[in-house]
Amino acid sequence: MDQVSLPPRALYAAAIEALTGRIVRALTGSDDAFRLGEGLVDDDELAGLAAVRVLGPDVLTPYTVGASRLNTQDAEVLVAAFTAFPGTDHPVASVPAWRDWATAQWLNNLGVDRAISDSVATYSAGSTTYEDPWAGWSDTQMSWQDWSSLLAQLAPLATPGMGSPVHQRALNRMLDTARGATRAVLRGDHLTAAQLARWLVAILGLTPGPGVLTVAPLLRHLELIGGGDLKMQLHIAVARAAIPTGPLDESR
Amino acid sequence: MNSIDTTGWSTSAHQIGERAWRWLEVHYRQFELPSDVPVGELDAVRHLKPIAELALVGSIATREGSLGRHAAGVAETLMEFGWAQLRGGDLLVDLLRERPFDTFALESYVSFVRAGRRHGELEALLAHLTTLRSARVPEHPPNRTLAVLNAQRLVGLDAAWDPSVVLARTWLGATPEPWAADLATLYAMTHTVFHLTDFGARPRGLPSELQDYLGAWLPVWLDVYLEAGHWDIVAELLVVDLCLSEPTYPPGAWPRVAAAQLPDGMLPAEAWRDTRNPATRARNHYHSTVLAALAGTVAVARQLDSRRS
Repeated sequence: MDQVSLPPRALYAAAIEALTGRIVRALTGSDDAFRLGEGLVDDDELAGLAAVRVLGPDVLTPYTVGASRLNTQDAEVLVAAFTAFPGTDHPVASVPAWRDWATAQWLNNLGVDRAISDSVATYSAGSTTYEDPWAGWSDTQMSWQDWSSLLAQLAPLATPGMGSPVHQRALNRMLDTARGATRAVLRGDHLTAAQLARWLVAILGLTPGPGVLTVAPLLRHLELIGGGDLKMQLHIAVARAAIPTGPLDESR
Repeated sequence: MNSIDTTGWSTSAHQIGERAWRWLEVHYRQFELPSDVPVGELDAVRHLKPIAELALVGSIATREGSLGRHAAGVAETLMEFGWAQLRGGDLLVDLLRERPFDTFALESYVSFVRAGRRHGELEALLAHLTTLRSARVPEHPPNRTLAVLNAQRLVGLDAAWDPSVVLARTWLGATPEPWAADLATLYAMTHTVFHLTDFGARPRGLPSELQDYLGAWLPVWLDVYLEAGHWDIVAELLVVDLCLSEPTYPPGAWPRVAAAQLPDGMLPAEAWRDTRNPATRARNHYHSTVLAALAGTVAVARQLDSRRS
């Protein structure tokens, strides 16, 4: 295979920033006709495709929780991104493998042509196409710190309609997740806090169980003091979009 | 990592307590009151607070009797020292003559009462002050009002307030968002717990919903301040755990505090604070070391008496 000449790091960072911003706008309502491929090739196609891989399943959030409709061209952008940056070197049971798995799941759920989702799965981490990347996974040895760190990395899975073994365990580890979110705020790590708040909304909605965090004020707090980090804003936007009814109840 | 370490914390707690008591034995005399300063000009923080805090840990050790003969001996020494510094309580009477509406005298005196020392004239004065309408409208932070209330209870004065009403006005009483904590709110929380439970003597003083709340969030605050090396608040949080009906003895925290303690027994207030300057060493780090002695003492006591209510 020919050596691809990679664009400089700054170009990657700019491409990630640009794509993240477009997704945030799509989710917050000022862009209801999100096209994944749009603008990706303006500066450097490879950087654009890399951005798609970095954001993982979150590039589909305008279609899964937002109002945009996925079309074949959008799906083919994903195939191109997976082809350019396959995840096949990643271990089977790893965060990249689970994120790739989630992308393929979404493509299926969104009803794209099976050939497209299959080809994404083929380039996924650890794949032979239908290998279960969750086989043998267990969280029983994880402290609340380890658990919440893992969950933060898997925030792109915390999207309504997605299910996984992590979701099942998250139902039983709400307190550990809330502890992780609390710890992140106290450490000034607003990105991790937003990732875990997104999980809390995905699993719990906004109704707190006893001893469990109320999420609405946390989301608002992060929005107002978390600074301009677009990645953080993306997680908050997905969390807000996942809330089924109306404005957040701030009363509790 | 989920399994509870049932022995590691206990070894550390013993070590922390025993070493801290050794440090206190060597250094307590540095907190003698200056002989050339009139009572009315004694500084609350610089002069009086260390005496009161040494007496506090002495009185808790006297009450618990958990850490063996050496600690018990040092505790008795601290009580004798403090009582002598306060001229057997006369100095507190003098203080009240200067500043009758300052509750410091009562809050200090209670430690001596805990360890069996009483002063009749002082108590008559305190009883009078407690009956004043003025005493019923405290402008203190609510957690300090709880300190006064606990002192009134132990001294045998008619309490001026309903503790549940005061508790509702504390930070902890509001069961706040746990991420809305900082050092100021956490110190307020630890003192709320200390005074409601009299430093672990009566866990029932803390309502069960607050016990649940602390069970959920103490591990997070401990984790954050262990990482920061803020040993003073870490030690306070460990004592809070010991004041609960069912302490968890956070197994990851005790060995880290033991590791932070210096060979002479001093627990630095913060990992980044200078510990070498002999002129400031004791003054800057006595509070955290008092807490280390307190934590070790109450930890061993609760281990022996875990079903205390």
